[in-house]
Parts: sequence; structure tokens; C-alpha cells
Amino acid sequence: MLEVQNVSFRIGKRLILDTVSTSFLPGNVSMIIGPNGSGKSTLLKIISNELKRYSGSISYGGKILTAGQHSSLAKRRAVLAQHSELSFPLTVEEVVMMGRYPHFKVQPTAHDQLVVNQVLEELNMTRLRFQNYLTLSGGEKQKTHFARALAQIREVPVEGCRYLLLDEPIASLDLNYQHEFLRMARLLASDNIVVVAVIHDLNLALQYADHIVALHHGKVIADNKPQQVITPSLIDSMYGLKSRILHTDNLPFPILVTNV
Amino acid sequence: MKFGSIYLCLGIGLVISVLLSIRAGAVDVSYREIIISLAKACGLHPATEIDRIQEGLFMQIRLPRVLLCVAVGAGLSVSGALMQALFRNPIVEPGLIGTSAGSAFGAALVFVAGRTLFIELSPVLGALILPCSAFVFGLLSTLIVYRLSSAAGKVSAATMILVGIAVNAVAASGTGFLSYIARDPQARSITFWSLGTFSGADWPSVYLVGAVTLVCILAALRFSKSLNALLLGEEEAGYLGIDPDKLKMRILLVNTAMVAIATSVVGVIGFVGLIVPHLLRLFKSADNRFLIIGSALLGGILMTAADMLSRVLLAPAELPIGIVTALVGAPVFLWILGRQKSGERKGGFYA
Repeated sequence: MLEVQNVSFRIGKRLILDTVSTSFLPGNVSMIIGPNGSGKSTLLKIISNELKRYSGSISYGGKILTAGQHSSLAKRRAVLAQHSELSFPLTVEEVVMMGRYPHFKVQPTAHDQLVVNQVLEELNMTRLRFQNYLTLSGGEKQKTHFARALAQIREVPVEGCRYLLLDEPIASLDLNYQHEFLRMARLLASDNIVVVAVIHDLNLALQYADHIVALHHGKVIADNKPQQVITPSLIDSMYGLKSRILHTDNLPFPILVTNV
Repeated sequence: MKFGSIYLCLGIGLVISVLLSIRAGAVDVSYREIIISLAKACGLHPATEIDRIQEGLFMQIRLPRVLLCVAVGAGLSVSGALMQALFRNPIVEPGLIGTSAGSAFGAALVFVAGRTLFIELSPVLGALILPCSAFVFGLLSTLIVYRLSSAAGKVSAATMILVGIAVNAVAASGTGFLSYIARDPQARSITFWSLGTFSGADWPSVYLVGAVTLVCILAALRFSKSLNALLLGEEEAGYLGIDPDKLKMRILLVNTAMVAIATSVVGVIGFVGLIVPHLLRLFKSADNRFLIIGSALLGGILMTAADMLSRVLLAPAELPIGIVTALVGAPVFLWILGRQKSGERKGGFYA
């Protein structure tokens, strides 16, 4: 379990996060929603130990996160950012192998190589293996980083669970990749991994999330199941838009139509 | 081991260039003389005798000089590879970001001020203070350039080059002033400080530069994994369990140690650290382990070749080696800049 307790964060005098508390369970796909500037990415950066000067606490499996946990945390927590600034000619395999860096000292072991092979196989990327990363399409690049994150948290730890944090992972992907990524996220969650994603598309949230945290002006304004969180009144208060929720008979989830 | 064959070729190339360079010069040294001298140095007693002057020329002048070339070439090139990974930019090299110029100033300060002001330092103390001072000023210059050109973990190439120009100018004017007021004939030679030379090579300098360079390269190899992760950006390197701030400081220290020691012995030699890693990138790999090992080997080859040229071109006179490396290196630098410009349009340095 991943717990956020009374986390506040300031930049200068501006309060970016205001006593945020919530918790994320293994087996669930949790999504953080909210308008631009509501503190979603900041919260994810605090959870992932990237930002440090916050008040309150983050705990992974009951243990409070401290600044010096870089290397031990990296063995069971992977982060996938919106886009990576990698601009050097590495092969797909080399990028995925970076996910194994927390697990070996100088040279990868046979086991690390095996994990990379398995992950590439599972994501249907074996044919891209020796291709130059820079020549890939946007979707393939992001999928390579997804594979890197999977390789990083492949092993089930002796105690506690694994964590996958996704910061707007699908923002620049086409429809097909968006659904592929979220399907994979669901699959991972069912493997006892805590999955937390920052996401903008509320319909995708309705379709794929088990649990949604809505942030507005740095405060949690809703924290519940998708259909309880995403309501016309919440959309109005967060975005100032009128909306309707449509239910259809043969869909297990509702559809949100905005600005109507 | 996919890079094995490349390492093998470079290794053979290094041996060939070392042999050619030992033989070349105002007086030829034959392979027979080389083998017999080496055998004698190893304590063997070969049946045939050779000319003592030829043996002295080989053992006391050519051999230390060529070995110093190999060490300095390897050190500067590995430094280039490290700085390029740290700045995440392939146009960085120690001559550009102030490391070399700062080290030269630090060395000149002790060389000149030490002798002029404090009159006589004891030889042992002097030999220690010189590289230390080179290290301190080299590190200071590099830190200034790095701090001023990076904001929030991102380095702006344009700012870096401009800050580099300023820091280099200050360091060079300081070195120029020192060489102007110096009494020592070698320190008076501004070409020594700005264009470098291997003519002063002797065994103590080979031991010093060789040992420091070897230790630093081995240390750099330990960082190659972390440097690869840094290619993803500082944030993502952090997610992979690496402390970017610690890593950067260690890299800067290792790098400055190599450059400062080399510069305090042979002066400023530009462009080697730039072109060597870049030539290796033609093999389409950015793996830092490959770049570090490859740079050490190829840097040794190119520096030995450049030194050979500087001795042969105007024989029996000697050209400052910096003239040769700049003449070859500057056009390559421009070519890389052009490639980078067109690469940026396509979304990457090498796209």
C-alpha cells in the first residue's frame, strides 16, 4: 500500500499542494485527475521521491519515505514520464536494460538479460530489439520506456509490493496506443502492483480506473470510485464546464459528454 | 561482447602507431635497436650489442615521449567522453569548458610565481604543488562553466559555449601575464601553455600522468552505467536509483584530475577530447562503457600520430602539437556542429 499523509508543498509563497492525504492499494488502477496546475504532477513527483522539501509523509508499505532511499526504492518502484528527453543513439534493448540498472553493479547478469528478453517478448517488441531508439515512432518510443519500467520492477520483492507511477503516460499517443497502455496498466495491477497514473482524459478514467483522486487548487476534492467522483457538479467546479453523464445498456461504464 | 572486435582493432592500431612514432624523428631508430634496448631494460643480456647513443635516444627520449603521448591522449579523450555525457551534449571537451585553460593557469601560477616570489621551493614539494594547483584551478573553471550554463538540470549549449569563451579568456590572460613576467625560459614560452608540447617528456612525468590517468579511467568505467542512465535526464536517472548530484560531482573530480595532471606536464592541447569520442559514435552507439574504453585507445593512437606529425613535418625543428590537433580537430568540430544543427531539426543530436 502507498500512503500519502498531510502532504503540503510550496514554491515560494504559492501553495501547490495543501494537506493532501490519500492511499493507493495494490490490485487497483488509481488515477489522479484535475485541471492544469492543480498539483497532479507535483504530487506524483513527491510520491516518486523526486521532490524533497515537502511537509507530511509518504509511506511505501508502512515505511516512511526518506531522502536517502534512492537505490532501494528503485528496485520496486518504476516511474514512466510523459516523454523522455533521450536523444542519443541507443538500441531499444539498451534502453530497456537501463531498467535493470538498480539490480546489477557493473555488468548485467544472465538473469537481467533474461528479464529484458521476456519483457520485450511480452510487449511484442522483439523485432525492434536492435533498432536505434531515435528512429522509432512516438508510440514505439513510449512503449520502449514502458518496457524499461516493467523490466525495473519485474521481481516480486520478499516483503511489500511493487509500484508503477505513470505521469500522463498517454498524453501524446494515438487512440490505439492509449488503450494498449491502459490495458497493460490493468493487467499489471491485477499482478498485485500499485498502479498510480496522472491522466487528463476523464472518459478513459471512467473506463479503466478503479479509484480516482481529484485535485483542485492543490486540494483533494474527491477520492472514491470513478462513477462517484466524475459527476456533473465536480466537472463544473473543476473546469467550469456543463456536462452530462450518459449510461448505455451494453457498456459497463458511463460516458461523459462535456460543454453541452 | 559486440565491441570486442573494435577494441581489438584499436589495440592493434595503438601498437602500430606507437612503433611508428618511436622510429620516426630526426634520427631513425630501427626495430632491432628497439628490441635489444627493451631486452636490456628487462634485465636480459642480448648477444648483439648496439650503439649506446641510439639506445639512450630510444630509452630516455623516444620511449617516454611516446608513452606520455598515449597517456595524455587517453586522458583527454576519456575526459571528453565524460564531459559529453555529463553535459548531455556531444560538442563538449575540456578545452571548451575551461578545464584545460584553468589547469594551465594553475600550473603556470606555481611554475612562475612559485619560483619568482617564494624563490626556492624544495623539489619534492614543488612537484606536488604544481599538479595540485592545476587541479584546483581546472576544477574551479569547470564548475563556473557548468553552474552558469545549467539551470534546473538542463544545460544550454549556447550559454555553455559563451561562458566557456569568457572563462577561457580570463584563464588565458592570466597565463599570458604570468609567462610575460616569468624568468624561466620554458615558462616564458607562451606557445608551451597555449599549444602544448611533448618535448619535455621524461620518465617521472610518464609515471605521474600514466598512473593518474589509469586510476581515473578505471574509476570512470565504474560510472559508465550511471552515465548511461543520465542520458535519460536527471529525473529519470533518479528513478533508476542514481543520485545525480553525487554522480556529477564525482565525474567532475575524476575528469579534472586527468586533465589537470596532463595539462601541467604538456600544456593545453585542444580538440582531441572532442573528436575522439565523436569518431567512436560513428559506430552508432552511445554506451558510455564503450565510449570510455574506445576513447582511451583511440585517443592514444591519435595523440601519438599527431606528435609524430609535429616532429616529422618540419624536421629537425618541432611544431607545437596544438597546431596539428587544432588543424585537424577544428574542421571536425564544425562538421559536428553542422550535424547537430540538422539533427536538432529532426529531434535529436544524431537523428
